[in-house]
Amino acid sequence: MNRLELQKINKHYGKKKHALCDFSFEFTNGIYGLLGPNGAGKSTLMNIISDNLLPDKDGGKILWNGEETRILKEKFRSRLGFMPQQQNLYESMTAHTFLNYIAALKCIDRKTAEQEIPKLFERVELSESMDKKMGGFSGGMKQRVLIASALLGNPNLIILDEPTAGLDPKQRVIIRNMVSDLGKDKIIIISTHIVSDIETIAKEILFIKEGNLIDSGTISALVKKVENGEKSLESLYMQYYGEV
Amino acid sequence: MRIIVTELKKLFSSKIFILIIFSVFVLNGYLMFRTANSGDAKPEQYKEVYTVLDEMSDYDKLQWLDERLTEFEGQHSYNWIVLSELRNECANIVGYSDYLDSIDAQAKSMTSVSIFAKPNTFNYRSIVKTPPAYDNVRDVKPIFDISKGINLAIDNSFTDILCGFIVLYAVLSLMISDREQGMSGLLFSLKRGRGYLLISKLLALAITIFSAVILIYSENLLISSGIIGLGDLSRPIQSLDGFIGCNLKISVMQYLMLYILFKFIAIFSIGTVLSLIAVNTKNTVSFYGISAIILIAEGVFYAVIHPLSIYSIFRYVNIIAFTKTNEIFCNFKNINFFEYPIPLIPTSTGAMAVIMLGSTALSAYLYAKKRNLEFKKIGFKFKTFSGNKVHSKLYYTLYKSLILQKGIIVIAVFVAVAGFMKETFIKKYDYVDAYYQYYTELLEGDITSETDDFIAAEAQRFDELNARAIELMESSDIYSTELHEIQKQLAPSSGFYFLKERYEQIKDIPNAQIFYDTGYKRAFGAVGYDDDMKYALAAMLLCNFLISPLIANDNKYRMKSVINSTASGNKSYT
Ligand SMILES: Nc1ncnc2c1ncn2[C@@H]1O[C@H](COP(=O)(O)OP(=O)(O)OP(=O)(O)O)[C@@H](O)[C@H]1O
Ligand SMILES: [Mg+2]
Repeated sequence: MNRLELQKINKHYGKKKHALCDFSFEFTNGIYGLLGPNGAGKSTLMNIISDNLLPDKDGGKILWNGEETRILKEKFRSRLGFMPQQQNLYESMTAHTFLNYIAALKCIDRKTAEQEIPKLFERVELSESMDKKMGGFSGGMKQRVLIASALLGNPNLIILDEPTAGLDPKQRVIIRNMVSDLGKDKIIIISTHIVSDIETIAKEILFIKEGNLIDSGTISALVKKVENGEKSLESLYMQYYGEV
Repeated sequence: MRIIVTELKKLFSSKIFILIIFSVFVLNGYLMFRTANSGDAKPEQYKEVYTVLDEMSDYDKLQWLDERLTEFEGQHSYNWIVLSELRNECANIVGYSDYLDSIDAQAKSMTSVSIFAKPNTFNYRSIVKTPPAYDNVRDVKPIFDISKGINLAIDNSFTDILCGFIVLYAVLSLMISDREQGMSGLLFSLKRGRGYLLISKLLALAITIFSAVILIYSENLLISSGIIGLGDLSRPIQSLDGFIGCNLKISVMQYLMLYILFKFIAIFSIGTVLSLIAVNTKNTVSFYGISAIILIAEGVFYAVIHPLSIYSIFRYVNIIAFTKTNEIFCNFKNINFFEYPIPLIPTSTGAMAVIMLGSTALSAYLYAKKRNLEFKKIGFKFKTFSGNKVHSKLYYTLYKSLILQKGIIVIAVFVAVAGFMKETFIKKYDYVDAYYQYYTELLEGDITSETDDFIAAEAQRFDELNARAIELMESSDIYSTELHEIQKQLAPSSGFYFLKERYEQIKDIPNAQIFYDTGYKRAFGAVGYDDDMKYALAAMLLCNFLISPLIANDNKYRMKSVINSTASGNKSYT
């Protein structure tokens, strides 16, 4: 069982912008959906977990199986699969070379990588394009390459920052199914502002608003909180974030 | 290993980089040909003399050259400059053991004559240390052979400047493009995405620089050997013109290998310093700004500080000085370190190692600590356009590429560097020009019989002085005061011979006039100005290559930020 604990994480951008306020949560194996509108602080949180951003000084702790990630450093990063929101790729590289590069940086030996990479491409339905330059890929293809790179090395903690942004409904479904198949033995955190992306697959949903965790729980528990209208996650989202 | 290979693939997949490499090689080749053919003495004229000298003993060669020089008035089948240049070279080689003796003698007189013997000074300490430094080359027998070819290949600054462009682009691409392309978020989350990745990148940089140095100097040597010839590569390095004072017991071939290795380390040290800057800057302006400040400051230290001054440590322990490989090896030198002499070669080597390893370790450390490393192009907001003024399309293009893309900084920096190089390059010849000017002004106007007489008399005077100097040198009295005096008197001859040549060209033309035509270089089309302009031009050309990817990236970046701001309405991370 993996456990990721966030203890009172605080993050300021400059003096004024308080992007995360005392954010605490405990993740265990399973899929978590991080819901919130633009600017809620989802990426900030994910970047802090993935060691791309430091919380404020005395801005809380992150524990991985009881140990601080700040101290674990490489050991923690080697268990991590991260897909950032800025979904860029090396345009002149082939998808296959790219994954090989990521594998090397993840310290996966050549043999294992050679076996694993084609399987991953199959899983994200990119087998045919894996030897093509990524510059010619569509948005959905690029996102799938990045998901594959996050999955490489079978990490125990997978963080996907808006993996479905900008995709058409069909691509969304492909990605959703893929995520739900990832297995129950790891922690998977997906951020999105689209409820339907996660409502069928997530074990728990976290609602985040202006840097605060305003609610969390299983879907069945959350729907009960809908005050008027249809008992759905969508209604709850509207209830929390207004009509914008 | 896989990481290094991929980093190299990333670097070499850039068409601009390939283009830069290609242009560097073409330009370098072109400048080699130009330099070889500039000036008065043409490569064929050297070859001609060498063919004659080929089978003689070095002593006979000297004699033959002397004969040709003394009877020069009468015949013109050889070039006077070639003859006198080779004569000097040959005299040095024949007099090598005298040269070593003179070092001893000088040390002895310095230490025994009480006015010099101030034991607490740098000069005194340095002179005492000098003779033992030559102990292991006492049995070396230099051989006279073509020096010009090797010197052409390894003694020019354009090759290094051109290499600089490869290094600059490689650093930009390896250290900054990941961040610029927004890949750092992903890379940083990987196990080896920090210090390890940075060291791999530096190794990729080292491989690139090493290959570039090997290739470009091979190009130089090939061209040189084609144009003039390299001579016998197994002869001792002291045989090479300018290297008589070298105290290493190695052959020319070994020196070439040492040279390339040293050059590589020197250029790589600069590369690591630039990388350190790249890792710690957040935008193009500060990268170019800080790099330019450091390079220019080092260049100024190098050019301004006198070799014997107490600040000479800043002249020699200096990333620009490290690239002047010949200057380090051609002579036994001591650096003045708080009045104590420390030998230059080990100091330079040690300092380069420290700089290289220090910047590598520091960049890796800082890179591992850094968060949030996205690279920013400084954004002058488009607001500056407001006021509904409509400008021409050219205005926008220039504005975009020069102001927004910071191309202007690149151009400014390289113009400054080119200007600076030109300064130092021209200075070298200034004293000749000064004497040339002196003589032209003295004889200004129509050519009269007085002019003829003056020139004949002056030529004879210099010939006599030359002959006496040779005599003195052969009698191993190299440091006699008389010789010193003669050499002082001979100094203006450099300018005089240019005047004399000019005079011979025009004396039979009716109404010909002598006047100072802004320098003997203009008059004789010698090396210098022309080539320097070529440099500047080449630099500008390459600047454009360097800027264009920035423009391309910037456009990409801007597009991206537009997309981002509409799709998710937040700023990208800085
Ligand atoms: N580098 C930064 N400097 C200043 N403010 C920032 C920076 N990055 C983010 N912010 C601000 O912090 C808040 C949280 O941003 P964050 O990117 O975490 O939101 P998000 O939930 O990921 O939004 P989105 O759905 O648009 O990706 C926003 O108000 C944003 O403007
Ligand atoms: Mg976000």
